Amino acid sequence: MDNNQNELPHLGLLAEYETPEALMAASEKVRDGGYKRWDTHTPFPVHGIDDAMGIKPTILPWIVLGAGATGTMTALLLQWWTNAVAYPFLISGKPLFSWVPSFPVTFELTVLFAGVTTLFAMLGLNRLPRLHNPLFEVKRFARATQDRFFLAIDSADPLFNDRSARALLESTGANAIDEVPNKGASLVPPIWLLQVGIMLAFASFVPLGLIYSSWESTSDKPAWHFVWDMDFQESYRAGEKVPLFENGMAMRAPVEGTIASGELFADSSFHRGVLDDASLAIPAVDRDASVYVVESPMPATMALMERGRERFAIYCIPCHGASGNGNGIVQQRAQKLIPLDMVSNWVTPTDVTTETVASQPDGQLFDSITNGIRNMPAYGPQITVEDRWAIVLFVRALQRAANATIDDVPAANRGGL
Amino acid sequence: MSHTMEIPQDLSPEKFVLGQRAGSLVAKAAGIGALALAIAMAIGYAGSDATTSRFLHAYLTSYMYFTSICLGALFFVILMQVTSAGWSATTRRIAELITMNLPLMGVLSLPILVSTLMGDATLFSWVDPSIVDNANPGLSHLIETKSAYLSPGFFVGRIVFYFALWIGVANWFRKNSIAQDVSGDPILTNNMKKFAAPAIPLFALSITFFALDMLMSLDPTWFSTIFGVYYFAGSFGVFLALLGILSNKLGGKGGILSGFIRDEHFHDIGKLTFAFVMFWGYIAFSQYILIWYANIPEETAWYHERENLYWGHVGVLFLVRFAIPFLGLMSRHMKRVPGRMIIFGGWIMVAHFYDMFFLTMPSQIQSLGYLKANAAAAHDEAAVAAIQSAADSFERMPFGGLELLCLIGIGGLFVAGVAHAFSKNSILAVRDPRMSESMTFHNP
Amino acid sequence: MSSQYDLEILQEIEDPTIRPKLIMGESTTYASLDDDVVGIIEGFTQKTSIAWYLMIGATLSVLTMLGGIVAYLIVTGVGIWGNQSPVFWGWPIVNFVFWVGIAHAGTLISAILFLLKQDWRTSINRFAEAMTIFAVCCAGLFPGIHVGRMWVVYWLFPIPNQMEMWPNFRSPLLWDVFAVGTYATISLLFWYMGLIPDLATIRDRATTKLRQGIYAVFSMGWTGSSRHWHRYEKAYLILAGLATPLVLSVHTVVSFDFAVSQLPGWHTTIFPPYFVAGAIFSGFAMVNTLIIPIRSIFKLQHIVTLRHLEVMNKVILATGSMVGYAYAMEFFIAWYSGNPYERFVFENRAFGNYWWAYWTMVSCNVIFPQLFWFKSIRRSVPAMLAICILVNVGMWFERFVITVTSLSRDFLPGSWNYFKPTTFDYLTFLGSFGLFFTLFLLFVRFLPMIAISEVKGILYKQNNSGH
Repeated sequence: MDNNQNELPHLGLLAEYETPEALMAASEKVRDGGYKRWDTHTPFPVHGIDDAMGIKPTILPWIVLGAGATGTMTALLLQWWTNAVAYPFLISGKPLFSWVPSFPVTFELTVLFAGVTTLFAMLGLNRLPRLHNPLFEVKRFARATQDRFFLAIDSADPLFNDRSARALLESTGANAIDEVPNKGASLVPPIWLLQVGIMLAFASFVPLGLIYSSWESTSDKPAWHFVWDMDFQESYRAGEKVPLFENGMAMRAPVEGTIASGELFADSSFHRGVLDDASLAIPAVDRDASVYVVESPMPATMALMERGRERFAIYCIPCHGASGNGNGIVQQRAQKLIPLDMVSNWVTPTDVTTETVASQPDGQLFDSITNGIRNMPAYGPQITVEDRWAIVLFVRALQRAANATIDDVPAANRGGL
Repeated sequence: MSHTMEIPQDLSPEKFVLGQRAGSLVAKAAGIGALALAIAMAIGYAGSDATTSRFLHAYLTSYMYFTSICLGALFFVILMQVTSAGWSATTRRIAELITMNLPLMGVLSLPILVSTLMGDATLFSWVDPSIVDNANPGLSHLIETKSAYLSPGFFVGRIVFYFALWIGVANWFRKNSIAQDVSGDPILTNNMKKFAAPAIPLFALSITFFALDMLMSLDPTWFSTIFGVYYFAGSFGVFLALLGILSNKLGGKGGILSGFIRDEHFHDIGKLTFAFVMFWGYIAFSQYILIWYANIPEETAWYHERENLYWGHVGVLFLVRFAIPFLGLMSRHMKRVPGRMIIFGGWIMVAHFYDMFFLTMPSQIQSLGYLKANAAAAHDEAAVAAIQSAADSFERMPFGGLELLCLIGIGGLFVAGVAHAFSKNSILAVRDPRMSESMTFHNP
Repeated sequence: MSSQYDLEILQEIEDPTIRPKLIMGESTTYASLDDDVVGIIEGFTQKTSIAWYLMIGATLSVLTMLGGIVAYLIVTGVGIWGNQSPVFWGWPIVNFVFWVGIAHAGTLISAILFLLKQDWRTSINRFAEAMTIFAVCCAGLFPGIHVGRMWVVYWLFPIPNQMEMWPNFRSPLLWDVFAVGTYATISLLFWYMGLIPDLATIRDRATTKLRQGIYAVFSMGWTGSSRHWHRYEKAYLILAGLATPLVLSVHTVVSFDFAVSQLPGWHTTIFPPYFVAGAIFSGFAMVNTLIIPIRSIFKLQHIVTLRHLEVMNKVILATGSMVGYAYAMEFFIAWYSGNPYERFVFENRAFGNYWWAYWTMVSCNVIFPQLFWFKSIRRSVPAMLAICILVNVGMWFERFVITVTSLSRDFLPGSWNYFKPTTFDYLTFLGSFGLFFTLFLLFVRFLPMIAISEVKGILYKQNNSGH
């Protein structure tokens, strides 16, 4: 019923029936009469009236299908992006993204999107809410939601003619036929509603804006405390002065002689390469070779050798070079910088294959690695005890290789030299 | 005024007996089936241990498949009675006749029962736990803790009991239903409804323990509380698929039940099938996600065999048994148009076989493993090599001649049984009190 | 409490050649249905109902107490409850699962029974859906307040936060947020959609401008147009189709909270269908518990007939048996597994220090509902009311047994401890009933308790069958 009908005497005819059967019969007549802008009104859905009226199936299911598919994609994308891309974190070794744990949320969002769309699309397709309907002006129409059945033909229908339409309705055996009055009422919601709506819409951004501004801004005022128990706890903090102990320290030192777990280095020869710990009190330059363990306490196996080769490559090669001759890349670089006066007082890394070093006992090599010697820093903190012995074993191999003869090479490899 | 249904005018049960149309199928199907089975047994029993193992697993797969169809039919009968369902009145007799195959399936369990009683641990390692120790030292202790339940005698006794129960219940319902064809007495419906209610828990427990006994115990170290429900979901689902196919054939144009089974029935069977595709998916997924998530090796080993050792079957199973039928059966159109249901009915029947296969065949790998370990312990190099080559060929082609022969064998006998039942009995419950409701109802 | 129609119904139930009437009364018409149902709402304004005011006064005070407890909880902390090592999940979780379970009956009645074409559902579905919404509110309360730091509960939602972190989607606790949230939303929408035509009926019968105005707004201007009904019915069918797997999924996700763990007694594959069956079980029992007095007080026995009650009792029997089946399977498989921890958990449940909770659960959930095998009990209103109340008690205990016994005695005996609830545990749970019944009383007063348009459709079918 559109606005330029405001000049018409009435907006249509409304017929009342007592039974659904009468209404259906009437509907078929009206449908067959070629009318297009008409409708029936019943207190409950009457089965069969869709066909009697010629109502085509609604597209609602397709809209819902689309919405559901959107929900599925949203859920999968959300889970994948947040947990596998934006901030990946490992949870008990589970894959960052897997269809198995993604399924519940995917299912729920599919149903949520589809379900919400179902209701709102249904209302939308029905053009509801529509609070000002001219039909409500007909008093009799109140029974449409109670116990009577109505048929309304809109006067805007191209075939509509007051007399013929009325005659048609009378021939269907209607209880009563009313005119739908044209009260001239506008069907557009009142302006003030729109204004209030816009104001509310803007107002709804205020809280979000406040949150955003407080998020982005800084303040030098102290934080608000809502939960004093949490913010001002009775437990002592690490650096706090407390009356409980004589020295006032809340954080207590471990009992003297406490050893951290995994740090009991009880075996002098294994952990420090010396026969007696007392000899470590002597400065390294003054120590006699006899204080050291002669042979490494770890058996010389191929596995240990390989480990030594790997660790040597990581820690030693930069200075000592791959063959242990001291011409590592750091040395090479230094040699380039010295003529440019960019390095002074440079000490060449030791050639570990020389007789001096080769004649040292294993424990001394171990000690050099652990505590450093001359300009070489201590590597004890970076390299575990076992690995240091492995490096010692590898250095021995380097020393042998430096002084090797053709007989030391396995027969199979001699051809390659 | 209450809704009174008139019993339709004189329908005589004789009109709905398929007679020779079905009868001619009986001899052919039985013949092919028996022959295939005989060949399979000959190959199986005469061959090496590895071949016997393969035969027994293949046999079990097909056996559980066809038994699940019968059990699904039985549940359909009981369910429709207990819910006083009206729509299914014209299709219920089909289900009742399929349950007539239960004695056949009982007899077909003999190869499994006999081999178990004779102490053959090829299929069920718990028959003789000591065979596992060479492959997995100490494992026999775990299996022995269950020996109160997993012992050959008790096992066989239970299987016999289940079949006695099922055959008893199925016969009772069928006899009453057929008697009603003649007398039209509504009291029979009341009685059937009354008995259907307690029949349900009996059915639930018996099918559960049947599944545990025949399928879950293939790996006696694995367990899952939902396993009985899983087998039930598959069974009812495959029966509904078969019902869809049979209804479409019998109720379609020119079919003997055309007019009695209409597009409304196709729609309802389609809806139930869709529901049970979802239900199966739900149960299978529940089992999978819980075991995946907790990641306890005791439980994941079973899925590991089916996923990693055995070309990623879990995903394929979900795709084939759930995702595709789910998407296909969503549309109302698919369910109503005759012929369409046949496509998905057939698909689900094949997918359910794949499900049975998924449950049984990977335990072949374990059996072969035990055989190999025992042969190795006995220093029998030749046997070890033979078993290894059997395992390799199995991995390359898990569905081969033996599996096909067992499927055709048991299937042929099953089809013969159904054809026989259809040829001798009315396929329509002509004087069911709800006949006219079934013939006139509408889906909105 | 038996009505004049009961005898007639009982006779009709016995005859398999007829479908028993769903709506009784020779003189029942569409108009009389309106009078029966809408008349209740109109009656509240016509004469002051002292009883209603007294009841809502009581429930509001309980609700206020709940408000006070929640405030105290926020200020003081979760320690006011009995949660203690190793039982870190105590009453709040039990209460959450209890309420969420009850919520399931409404959607089942609305959606699943709709798909199964069970016309008898129309007499109770509005009521049950309302119960669902209120139960979901009560359920949502508990996870909300038990997190400890409620002011950061927004971290549960995938919205950008100050740490630029996202929730862990691999956790069932988060799946719960989505599942219960979706469920609350969809149930609300489904319920509201069902209400629209009935609110229009109230609007059209309204005698005051205020009443007319309010109901007009909420009924959206519904005119009963057949073109609208066409889309409405399609939407109803779609929502029913969506709500069915939804309702199964919600309690499944709740069961995942427990079952994905590695705790014996919790980690068992049957939990999903077992929880769902249990939820339907407790939900139907609650619907029955509420509707039995309501139908009597408001004289609705010709719409909610004895047959309706009997069918619901049968559903209670069926789902109770499923729950019993699950108990049996858990027990058997625990033994079968040979795993000593699994075997111990079940031994402990039955004979350990919570044996009293366990046997309460078994008798209320498995034994008493079995009485519904007997026709006389199924049809006796006092008996069914008693059994339904016991079922709800039993289902609370089931969640208590599952949660607390598995936690209090798990792998390491050195960690074992006996959980004791505090006064605040009791009071918070009691408070949730205050919320539930306040909402419920408001519903009874302002909204139509029966789905009038749907029942009219059934009356039409009933009067015109055979055409």
